[in-house]
Amino acid sequence: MNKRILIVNAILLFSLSMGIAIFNKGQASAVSGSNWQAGRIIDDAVFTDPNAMSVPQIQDFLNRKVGTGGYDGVPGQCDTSGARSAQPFSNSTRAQYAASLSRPTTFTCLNNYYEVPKTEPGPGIPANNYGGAPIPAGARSAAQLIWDAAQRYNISPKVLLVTIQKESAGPLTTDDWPFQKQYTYAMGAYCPDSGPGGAANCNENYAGFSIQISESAALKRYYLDNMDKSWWPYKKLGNNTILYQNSKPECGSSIVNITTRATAALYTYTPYQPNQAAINNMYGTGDACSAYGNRNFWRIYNDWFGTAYANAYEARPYSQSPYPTITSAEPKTVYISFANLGFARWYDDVSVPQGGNPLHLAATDPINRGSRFSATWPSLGRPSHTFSKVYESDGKTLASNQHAVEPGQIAQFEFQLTVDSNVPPGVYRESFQPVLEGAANWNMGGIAWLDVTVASAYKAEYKGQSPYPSIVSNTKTNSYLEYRNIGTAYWYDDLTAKTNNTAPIHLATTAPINRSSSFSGSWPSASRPTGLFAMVYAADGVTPSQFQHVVRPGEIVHFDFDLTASANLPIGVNREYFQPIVEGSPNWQMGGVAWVDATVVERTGNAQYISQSNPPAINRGSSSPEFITYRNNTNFPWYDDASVPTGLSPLHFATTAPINRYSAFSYGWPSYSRPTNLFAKVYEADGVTLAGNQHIVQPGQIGRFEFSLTPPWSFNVGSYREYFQPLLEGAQNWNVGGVGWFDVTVLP
Amino acid sequence: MKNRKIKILIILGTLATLAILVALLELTHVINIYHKRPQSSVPTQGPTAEQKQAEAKFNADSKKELITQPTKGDDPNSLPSVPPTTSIELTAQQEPNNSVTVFTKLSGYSDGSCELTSSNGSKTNNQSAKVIYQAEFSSCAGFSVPIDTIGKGIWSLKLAVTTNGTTATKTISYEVK
Repeated sequence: MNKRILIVNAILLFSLSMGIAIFNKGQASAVSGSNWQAGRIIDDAVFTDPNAMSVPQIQDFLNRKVGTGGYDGVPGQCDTSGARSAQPFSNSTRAQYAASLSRPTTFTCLNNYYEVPKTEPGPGIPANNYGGAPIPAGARSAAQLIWDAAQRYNISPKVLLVTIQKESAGPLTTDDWPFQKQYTYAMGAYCPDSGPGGAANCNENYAGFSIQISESAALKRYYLDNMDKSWWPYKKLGNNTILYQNSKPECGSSIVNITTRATAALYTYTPYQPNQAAINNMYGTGDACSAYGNRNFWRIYNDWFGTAYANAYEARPYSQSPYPTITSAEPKTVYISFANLGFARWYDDVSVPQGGNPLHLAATDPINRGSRFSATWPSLGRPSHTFSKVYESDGKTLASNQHAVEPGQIAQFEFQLTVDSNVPPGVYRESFQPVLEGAANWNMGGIAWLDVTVASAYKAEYKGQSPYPSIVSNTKTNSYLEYRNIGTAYWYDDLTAKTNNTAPIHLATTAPINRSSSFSGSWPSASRPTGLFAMVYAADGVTPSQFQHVVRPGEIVHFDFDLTASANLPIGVNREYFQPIVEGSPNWQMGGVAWVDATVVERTGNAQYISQSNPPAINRGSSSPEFITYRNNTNFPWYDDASVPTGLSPLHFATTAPINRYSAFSYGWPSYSRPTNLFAKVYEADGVTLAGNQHIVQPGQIGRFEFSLTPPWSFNVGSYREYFQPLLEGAQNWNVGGVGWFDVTVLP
Repeated sequence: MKNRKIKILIILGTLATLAILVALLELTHVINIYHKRPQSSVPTQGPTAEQKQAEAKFNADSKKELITQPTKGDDPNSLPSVPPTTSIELTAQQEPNNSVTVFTKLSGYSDGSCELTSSNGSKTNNQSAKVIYQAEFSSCAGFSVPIDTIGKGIWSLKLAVTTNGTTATKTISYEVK
């Protein structure tokens, strides 16, 4: 059994080994001379991609490269102490060899190197930590210096790393015991071939690793940006005569059709091309006429980073607006820009040639997704069909053609995000990418997104209210609440909302919202005190606004409403919560919760009998008009059916003893127990002067009921006593006193 | 029961060894599972051992030459400055857009400034530009003289190049038709 396990393990190990072998085959990183294209060493978008590596990625790269240059190196290790062999220079240790040259015996490799940036040409080498020195104040790591230069001049950090490898002695990138001298002119910048035999003759003002890196990037950028000028004497796009060797004109030259600006910049930086011998022996030397600079650039780039060629269409998000906050009343214009990392030119709808595919900005994730913010877009899934701006690769300089994006340039799409008021507030992630419209290979990457915050355009701020009311049972009182419009949308009430095609702002009960209120007797509904603005003030809260049914941002609305304490409402304090809302909208909430502590006060007093008509004698079948008057000695007004507000109880004149007794004299009454539900007259307290309102008897006033008594034909002749009293109709505590009677004589 | 325990231990031990092996290979970048790097589209023919050795030797020789020769470099202030041999070439070309482009070829210069004085009789046009470095030869960063400024005729083009406080001049005549 153990043998079987061992066999299984052996198979596992073998499989793993094969897997590693296969995996490594896929990672192969060598190049062949047959693929060398003299006119296309590297594509523009690859060359000018400053974000190709981050600082940590550069640092990691340097960490991995150190010690891979051969001669007793250990990959990933810097021989700081110089303990290893100095071969092929000497059989001694490296430290001993350095000492023999009177050089520091402690070595600082590129991955550990720090230098204070030299920002202006000038004599001297900047302070650095070479040779075990402490890191000087203000010094930056080599990785950081490379990244800084890449960002400043929009050159790929990969290009700078490759340049170090091809230009520096050692080369620095892989050397595990570099001398300080190797840092001094690491990029060959400002080292003209004016020395003996075409040797480098470096300008001392450009000594120092940091300035070499930055000036190398600056030169590459300058070459890229100026090769179209009429005076440009160096290499440019198209046919160029390029020498094979600088110091040997007899080696000749050939015409190279340069197809990328980056390639032209490389030939300007290093103005020679490899001859066939150098190309045939890609990893070795050619012949006496061979130059290797540009060949090595191409080889090293491919070895280290893969292809130096871009896809035809490739985009990378470059910049974008801050994440926006929008409301239904306040759409926002945003932008997203993309760098053209491919080698093809991008066209928009304005510039696309006949039969070509324009570049559109598309909603994506998934592609062609309909966006909820698309009201102003060309279509649900396309925010824009045209470039709003085209920049050079620096992201600042406007390109000469604003509707075509060359490789390396940046296209900006500007578009509006609008949102319907039905979209609930929240954060929505909207993803976008440029697409090659109508092409089978539409996908060019470059997905970017905006986290769009949808906020309500309606926002209310509590401003003030009437004092907390005391309401006598079966009465109502007027209250008000005031709010300032601190949102961005206009507020409309029921009178103006419809014509403005928007939802009205109503005052609503809340806590919870739409709670039925006990005080809602006179309201449009049990949860809506009012749908109208009673008053609209300017921002000062005093000056009436020009528009009395529209509240503009900053203005103040005055909601006026009654609190009706029905006769059956319990006595005591009731807290009523209110807030304005956007009626009918899912986004109804606009804040501004306020409350009113309404105290319901008990009804007191009674109806005081004042007078009545004389005792009648009535023939059967005939009617006799009668009246009776009462003074309102209660603490609440009496309403009859003609005046009673909704939610309150009217005062009716009723038969009594017992209450609601059937009366045989009720012919012509509203009901058999209600001689009348109306006041016939209302007098002031003097009993003579008619009151202004003939259907409300205020406390102290006198109300007169008029009615008829009609004994039916079938009634027996004789005397009858009919009891009456006023009552609060529908109230649990209906009794207001005032029992009176009529002694009726029924005649034949 | 004991055999079963041993078997489990053997399996676990083998798996742990495999995991450690994979981690070591990943860390030493023999394999690259975690960070997938871009692939070269170029077919591969790696360097031979001889080529690698030759390249290492070439690099070592370059390094030795640099560190052993008293060339300018690690201590530039202590080394004698060897002034480069300088020369100025000046050519002009009349453009269809009614201007004259002046081409410059500066040998032995890597930075500095250029002053171009274009004269036609009593009329002159002055332009300045910085020196643009290039390994083979530097140049002045662009002179384009509108013909209207000094008119047609025989132009005198005088270029003054200043670097490190020293100025050199070159004058040519050019007929503008």
